Amino acid sequence: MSGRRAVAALALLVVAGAAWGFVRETTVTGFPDQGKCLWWSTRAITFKVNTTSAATPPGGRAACPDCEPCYDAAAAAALIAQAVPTWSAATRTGEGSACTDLAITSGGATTSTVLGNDGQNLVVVRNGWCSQTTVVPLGDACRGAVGACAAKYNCWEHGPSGTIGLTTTTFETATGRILDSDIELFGWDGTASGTGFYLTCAASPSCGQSPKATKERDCTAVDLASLSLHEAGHVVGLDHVDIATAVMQPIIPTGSVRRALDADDVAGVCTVYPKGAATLTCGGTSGGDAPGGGGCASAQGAGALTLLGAALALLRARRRK
Amino acid sequence: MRTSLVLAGLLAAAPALGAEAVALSVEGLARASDAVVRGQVTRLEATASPDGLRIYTLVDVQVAATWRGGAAKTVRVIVPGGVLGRIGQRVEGAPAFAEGEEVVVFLSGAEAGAYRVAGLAQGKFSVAGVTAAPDTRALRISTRQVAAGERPSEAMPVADLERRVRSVP
Repeated sequence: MSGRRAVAALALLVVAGAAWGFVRETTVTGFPDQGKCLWWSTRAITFKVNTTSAATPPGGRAACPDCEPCYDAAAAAALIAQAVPTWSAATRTGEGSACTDLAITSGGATTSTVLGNDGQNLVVVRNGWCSQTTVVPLGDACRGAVGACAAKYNCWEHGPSGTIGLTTTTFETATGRILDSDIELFGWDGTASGTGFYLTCAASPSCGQSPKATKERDCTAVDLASLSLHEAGHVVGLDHVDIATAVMQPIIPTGSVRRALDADDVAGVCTVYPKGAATLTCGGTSGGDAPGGGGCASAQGAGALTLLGAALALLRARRRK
Repeated sequence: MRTSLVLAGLLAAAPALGAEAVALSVEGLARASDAVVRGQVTRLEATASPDGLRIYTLVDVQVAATWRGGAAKTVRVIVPGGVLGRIGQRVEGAPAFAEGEEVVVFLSGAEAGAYRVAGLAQGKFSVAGVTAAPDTRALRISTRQVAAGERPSEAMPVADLERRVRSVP
């Protein structure tokens, strides 16, 4: 194969959506190859944290001290507030400063339980399924309306989902510009066989097999920092990748932590929000077009573009010889 | 030639997006469900929460068969996220439905006389021919293990899926 043909073949593969490198979220959930990519038009994102669901649950629910994440709501809030801004410190290997100027900062603690398009980015720990009568009384009017109970009772409305954390991102459909992004985490309800997850703050050692039953403390079960950092990646606009060491890898075994960004995570945030340069949008909107026309049509990250660039450089070098 | 080899090497070194790990089993999903139905999606409608801040998609499914529990001829399923006018909301892990789609859905009783999908994306299978498959691309962190003898939420023959659901006491 000639060099030119090889480059053409490679370009075709890249354009066709060869799946690798960081992936951007789009306006179509679950389909990174469809829709517009999501992006913030601001480089300053503020979020607030609510970890009070167990200690002071709203709606007349009984307090559950044992349900507090890390057995200490304040410590849990502090850890989340520390973990989420990790994305702002994304630094490439060998460089001394961050490659992005996206500033994610904590706005402090809040008792707000409201998610959605209110301009307030929130990280909130929920407790109990909203469908449970022990959580939301049968006669409560919120049961008659879609999506009315979760904020009122700070409960998990997604039922038995096996999901620990969810990010809800509100965006403009025409541009993909993010307007608001909120994180829900599903905390334990305090019973040995109950709902929710054992959220912990300690980075080690790993908890035993049944930390809920033994109420084991100072160990790692579902690491709140790792979980928050992953969800914050979605807030930034990144999707899942199948790279074992990446924060945006969707699976993390119980008892393990992943509190540092991987090179692919760094590439993601620094490509979309490069320090001192325009935001990489899907094109045609403020912030500049996608370089090389890559954009989000194939939802590929810098990796694909870099690969194509390497191929072109090789071809040019060949020509110079 | 050398160029081709280098390019081949670069391509081979590129990591690939692979299959997602699965956290819930079919049997576990069935146990967690109030009903499991097979049917066809007849209608999608976006709606807002009472405070106007959240968007949900209401999915009507015409039930062809009830594999577990009891269900009406048509069930309404609440899916978080959707599009209302110029505003969209994306919720990671939420299942996607399409009008006319044949589905198997694990249902959990919810508000407004409707259901939620148990297991979110893991609890909705799209049926094509004799195969049913969940769309688990949007799965996220989960730590549960699938019990021995149970099968993860993954593509399988519809008949196998039905047998597994019906086998759960």
